[in-house]
Amino acid sequence: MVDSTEIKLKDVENETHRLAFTFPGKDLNLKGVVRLSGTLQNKFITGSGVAPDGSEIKWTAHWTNTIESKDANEKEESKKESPSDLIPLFPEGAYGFAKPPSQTKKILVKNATIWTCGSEGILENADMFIRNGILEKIGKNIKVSGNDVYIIDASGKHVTPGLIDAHNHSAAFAINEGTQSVTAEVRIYDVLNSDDIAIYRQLAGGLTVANILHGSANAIGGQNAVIKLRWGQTPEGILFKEAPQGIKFALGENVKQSNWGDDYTTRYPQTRMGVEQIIRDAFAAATDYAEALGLDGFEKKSNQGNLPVRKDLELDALVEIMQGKRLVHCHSYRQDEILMLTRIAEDFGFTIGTFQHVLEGYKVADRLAEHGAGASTFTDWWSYKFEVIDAIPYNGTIMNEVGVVTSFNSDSNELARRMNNEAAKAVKYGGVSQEEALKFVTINPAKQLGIDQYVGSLEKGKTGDFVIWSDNPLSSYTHCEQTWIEGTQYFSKERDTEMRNRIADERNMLIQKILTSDDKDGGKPMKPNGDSNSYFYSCSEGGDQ
Amino acid sequence: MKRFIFAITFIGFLFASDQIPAPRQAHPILLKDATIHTVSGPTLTKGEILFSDGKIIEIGQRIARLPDNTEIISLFGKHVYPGMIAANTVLGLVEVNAVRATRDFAEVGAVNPNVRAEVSYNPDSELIPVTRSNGVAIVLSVPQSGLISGTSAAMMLDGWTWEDATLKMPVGMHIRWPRMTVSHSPWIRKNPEEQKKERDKQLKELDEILDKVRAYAQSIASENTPAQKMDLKWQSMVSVVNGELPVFIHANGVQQIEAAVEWTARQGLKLVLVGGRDAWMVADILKNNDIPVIIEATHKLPARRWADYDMPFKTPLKLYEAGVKFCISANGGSFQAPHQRNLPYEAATAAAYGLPKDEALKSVTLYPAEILGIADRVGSLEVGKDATLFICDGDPLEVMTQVEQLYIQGRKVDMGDRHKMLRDKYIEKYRQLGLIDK
Repeated sequence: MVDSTEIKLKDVENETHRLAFTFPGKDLNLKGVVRLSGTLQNKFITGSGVAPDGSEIKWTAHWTNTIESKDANEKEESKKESPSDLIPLFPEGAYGFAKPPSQTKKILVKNATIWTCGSEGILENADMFIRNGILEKIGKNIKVSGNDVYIIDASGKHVTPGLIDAHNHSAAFAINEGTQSVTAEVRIYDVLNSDDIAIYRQLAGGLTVANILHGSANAIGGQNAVIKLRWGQTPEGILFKEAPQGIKFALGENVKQSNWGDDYTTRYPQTRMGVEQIIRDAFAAATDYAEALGLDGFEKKSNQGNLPVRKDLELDALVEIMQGKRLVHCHSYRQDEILMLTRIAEDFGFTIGTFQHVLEGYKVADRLAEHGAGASTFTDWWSYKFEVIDAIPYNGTIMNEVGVVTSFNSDSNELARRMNNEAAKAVKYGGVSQEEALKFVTINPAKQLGIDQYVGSLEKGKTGDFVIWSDNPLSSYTHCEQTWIEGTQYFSKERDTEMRNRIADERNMLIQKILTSDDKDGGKPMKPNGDSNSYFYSCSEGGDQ
Repeated sequence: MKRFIFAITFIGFLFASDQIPAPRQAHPILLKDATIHTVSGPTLTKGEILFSDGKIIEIGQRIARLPDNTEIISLFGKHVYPGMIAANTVLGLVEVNAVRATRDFAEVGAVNPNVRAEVSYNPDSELIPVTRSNGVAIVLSVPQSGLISGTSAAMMLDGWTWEDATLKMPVGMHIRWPRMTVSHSPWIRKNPEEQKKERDKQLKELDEILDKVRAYAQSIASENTPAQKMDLKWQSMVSVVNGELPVFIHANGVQQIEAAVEWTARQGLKLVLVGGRDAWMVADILKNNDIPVIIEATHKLPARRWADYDMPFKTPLKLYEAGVKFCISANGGSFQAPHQRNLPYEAATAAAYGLPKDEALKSVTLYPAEILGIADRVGSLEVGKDATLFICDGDPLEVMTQVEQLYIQGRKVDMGDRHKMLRDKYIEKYRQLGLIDK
């Protein structure tokens, strides 16, 4: 309680029944600046605020009378800045690590229910030993000697392989080079953003690998980047280096710009007829180019006038597809376009890696199986645009049953945090066993991305990428407790709690600094700004997947 | 013969769902040997529930006397729950969001209090059977545009016409609260000063509208002003200023919520908060003013980079701990209308992050019923309430649970839907090809 102290307020915002201000805490014997805000109701103000130490304040006041403000010309003493005692973080900003996490050389997980997603199925009360990031033993009662073994008692917990999302747009500064219909030369690799908070949030949902794809604005989009969610590392550091290269293709409404409004009616193609021809034309050009250069797998043919052939980055990528060195991941919905692309691929001697979304895949599952493409689908999205009017949640399980390697994908920063719950929909819609259902987000996407010799199951010789869950991973009530990649812990609930405390302190320190800074030296005044969510992208950038 | 049937159904479902609305309950029904989850009271293992003429007659461990011609259904190992309620949707008002001709949820102009959701609810929407297949029996259909969007209605997901389907109308007057903070986003064209001006103009407009409505109400009631003509807009708001019809204010930011609370208190209106992203930050204000919150989605991203990754997951827990009345809805956006069947999983995620499981169940049954003012009819299994309930083989908040049968007011709902029809059609394809032997 303070009696009759006159306090001079700063940063006053008096807007439509809301009052907000700051004042130096020294008036109340506090070090730093106090921030209060409140709403005025019948001359009575109630509100909340933040003390200099970051703690919460509740306050009330009576509005007694209004006083003419005097000319405020007093100058506050400017203080000397002291050096910050903040440490650099990996990555910089909230949830960065104080030091990059390092590999735990020997890890023994004990007494867990382990979903191997391999031939051993689900092991009850089992152990798992990981040495130098590689899974060395899995089974019952594994004994490892030495006091340098990090033991995780996972009694009552469930352990699964790290989850894999075969369609994701996080961790990239740009998604669509939407200017023309063929942009095979652009690379997501060049715009990877390893500081994207989406990486951390997805780790907290048990995701360890994501296929970062170009968007669906073009028939032939850009090259993908398969990443491991190694939070705290550089763009190079998050790359899944062993993963085969890939490229995004797209068919249907996004490519035709069907939902972009009336101004987008002139770029070719505007029909599915045109989409087929533009892809065929691109491969015809790439074939001529490869033959002129006599590239691997192509017969050298002399080109007109034997002029030297200019290097063409766009055609190079298409040639790599025909050489089987680059996987095509094709955004698609309707059965006619799915069938069409398998025919083009076969005409040019290659196989499609995955059809993405592929919501009418269930109508041509036999063709997908015969062609040998994988299917990476949404579980149950439909009816948001016309080409998905026939999408059904049984899509994945029907394709799976007909023999197509099928996975569930997110295409969403948010959904990528809950892929385990998505897997449960294979049980609900199609009666797949729980063990098989989890494979829709582990070994199946690993196969589709050509990385199944490294990840996707917990088997001897594979990478130590695993997740510890509070409960059955397919249960709606479960949550992720720890996420490990290559024997390195990238997420745990305990560390997350520590980080939250650190972030709160750091935020408060920065806000205090801003509030006490002298902003009369020119330049813009600094203001604490809470609402600064970075823009994130979806496939078509309009919110239409 | 089979091919012929397929041809017919295919033509059929381009225009209307092929599920036939259920006839009135013709005779009493007893469900027995099931676990009866009353939600408002105790859960009965191997219990019984009797309903007749669409109403629940009796619930008990064993019901001694049954009316004549009672149909007895034995449900060993099954569970019975009250139909779930999706408290924030545009169901019935949109078919395919990207197809403009099918969008009937956003009228042009800022002030449309007189538009009513129920009149453009399409009872033949294909989205309806798909939604109810998972145990969602009732939705709030909400107009969404401008400043004052119009009135919502509680719709039962079965019926020949929108009138059949309407459980209650109007439920609330929907207001989209102006953005209070200034955005520096490059996507916003207006500069901060312009944004503030626009916001203040909208806030002033809200006050002025209420002044006009009060003057109108007085004028139309008075014999001294015979010249006063009917004005549909102001007429539709008379019950709002009388405090009879609650305003459902869509607001997410702290300052929006604070301003909405202050405004409704000053104007003497009844408030239901919809959205409520930051409601946990001002939980005491909501509690002190008895303001219920329809939490829009747990399946969403934290609003701020530094926020806890699980902030949206645990917002219901925070409100529960603070004693704020709440329910959970899915995302109410038009893009999400087809996905309302996932409502129970929004609640389950709240439970995965600390909300007690029974609270999670209430947050999609009893609590939305109370907040929408329909708890006298639905939301729990109690004698005298509508027999709007479903049978399933486990906990409906678990994805893996199968919903087997839904009753709406005792009417046995057709559990078919577009997705099951297409599934069966193409399973037949693979059977013909010898690829599946089901």
